[in-house]
Amino acid sequence: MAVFKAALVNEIEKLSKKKKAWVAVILSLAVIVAGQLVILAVRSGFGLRGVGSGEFPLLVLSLVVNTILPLFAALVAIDSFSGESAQNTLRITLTRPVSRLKIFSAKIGAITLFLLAALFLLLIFSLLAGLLFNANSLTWPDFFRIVLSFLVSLLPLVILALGIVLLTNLVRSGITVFFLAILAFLLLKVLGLVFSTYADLLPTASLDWYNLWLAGVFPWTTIVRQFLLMLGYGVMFFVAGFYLFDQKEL
Amino acid sequence: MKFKKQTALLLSFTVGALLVATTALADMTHKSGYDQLKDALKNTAAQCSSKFDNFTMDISYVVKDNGKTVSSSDTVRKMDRKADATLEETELVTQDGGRQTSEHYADPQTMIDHSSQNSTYFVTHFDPARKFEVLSDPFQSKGAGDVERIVDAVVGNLKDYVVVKESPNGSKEFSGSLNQTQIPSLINALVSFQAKRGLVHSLPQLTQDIFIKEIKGNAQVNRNGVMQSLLGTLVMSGKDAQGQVHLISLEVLGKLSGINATQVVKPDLGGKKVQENTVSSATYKQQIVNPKMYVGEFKNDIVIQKDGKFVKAGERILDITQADQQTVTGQYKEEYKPGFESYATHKVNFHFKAKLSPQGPPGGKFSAVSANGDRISGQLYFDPNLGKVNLVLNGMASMGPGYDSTFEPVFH
Repeated sequence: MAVFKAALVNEIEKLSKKKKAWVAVILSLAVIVAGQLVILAVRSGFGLRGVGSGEFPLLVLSLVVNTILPLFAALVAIDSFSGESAQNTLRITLTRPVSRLKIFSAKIGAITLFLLAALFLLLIFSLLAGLLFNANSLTWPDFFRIVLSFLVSLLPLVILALGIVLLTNLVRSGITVFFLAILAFLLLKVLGLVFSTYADLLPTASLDWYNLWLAGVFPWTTIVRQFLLMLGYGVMFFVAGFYLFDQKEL
Repeated sequence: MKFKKQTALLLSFTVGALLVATTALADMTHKSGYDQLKDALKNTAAQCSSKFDNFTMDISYVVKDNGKTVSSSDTVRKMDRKADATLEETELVTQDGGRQTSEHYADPQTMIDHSSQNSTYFVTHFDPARKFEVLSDPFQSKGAGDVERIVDAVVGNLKDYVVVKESPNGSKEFSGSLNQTQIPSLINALVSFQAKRGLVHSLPQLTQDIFIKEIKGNAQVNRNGVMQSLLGTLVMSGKDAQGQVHLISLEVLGKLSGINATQVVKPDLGGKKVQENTVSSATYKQQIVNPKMYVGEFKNDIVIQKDGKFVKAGERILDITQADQQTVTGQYKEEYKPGFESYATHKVNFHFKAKLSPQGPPGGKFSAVSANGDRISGQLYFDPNLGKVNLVLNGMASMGPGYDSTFEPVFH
């Protein structure tokens, strides 16, 4: 465990030193500022309230969970695998007396923490913006619902990241992986539209599963099903990704 | 050791795959409340448009402003597919308590309209009978599948907000509600915007802070899967120009009853003031014209702008020499007045033979070669009400500006 912890700390430190982490922070802020500006424009232009302070964070979440958050997941996953092997720095990590499973898990752990941090940042700033600029309608139950929505959104994002990690271990070039990931993401979204009856089964469909957690009558059977589905995809992606990572020749 | 690791990996992968597969199977056999509701709607529409001989649909709505009824309406529509007739009675109550009733009866041969504001019954006879469908299944119409897909995509993970309660006798009750945090912001904004534009006039004009507070729905489906009632409520909040908050609610209730026990009775016109009108060709059907009536000369003026005025430079002449139900033959030519010959740069003269098409407005297409060798194609239509002929030429721009396609008959 101590070894894993050390590996994780190492991965997190590497990640935080990257410019990409800062790009993520700035992009998140930009989304919130832009969203708030649009709301203000709609409010003064059409007389619509747009959102109250209780809904603004959820509006932000609904926007980012299908756009920039998957993008962050892709960037970080690619950087952590393809990037390092391209720069030959992966060799350094792998020659340490740490098993490859631990390194692989530490990398996944770091990506998870990064996504959690991004969600946390978005949550804090959208709550602040919501309270500052929108009619004060935030109640405690609303607050807990919002926090819950952001928290549960971590799981589908991690599954998505695992899928991309699998891709990085299949294809060598980081740029190819990036475009493949975007293509696959769009393709899955389109498939979800065309075969709307089976859309729930696609790994991208659960990105906005936080909606389920907000329902008045708690749809626990659906939540359990979605959870198991994601878990299944996660295990498959993890195992396949790790297998390829383990086979990699330096 | 190596072998063990591989086995463990393979095992975990299989477990993951099995997990996905079983959940997927469970997911496919499980129908969300939303899907069940959709099925009930489709089934009801299909039964109404093809199986039930007759039934009664009752659709009513109430608009309230801060709890006070602003307007309400109730429409009872009796439909008889066997007798091919519908009778619709509407009652509208306005804010000041005023009541308006209206009645609309329709079958293939007749249409009767009457309202409480006018004692006259307006009767329209269709001779020959028009094509008339009591109720067509909206889910079978063109593009319905695409609309369904779009709706499904928008609904997305809100599908599970529809709760189903099944009773032992097989009937089902659907209910669902969305509050302001649950309604996706984009939908909230769009609905608010639409609602703002489409508000009933007697309502206070909301100017700011408009949003949808709540959407609720409830439906009863009997054990044969036919929806018997559907109630929808939408609550909107907003402020008027004085800053006063208004909660406006709209309740819509639809009921289906009297299946195979409804009688559509034609209004009794005995002793009533009646204004009759006969339509020889219903708009629903190809208008019947007698092309022979159009043999003769038709004209319109070539008008140009000269010295800041409109001036007649000549005439376009359409001479129809032969016309029957299949073909129309004739000649088109342009004649310029003396002194305007310089404008005749596009002077066209051609003989044509148009084939009348059995569908669409009465008329047909033709192609011809003009006197100076240009290929010309276009369409010719008869206007049955005004006795005019429309001659539309493809690429009319090349005919020079101001080509007029309407030709009036020349009476000698």
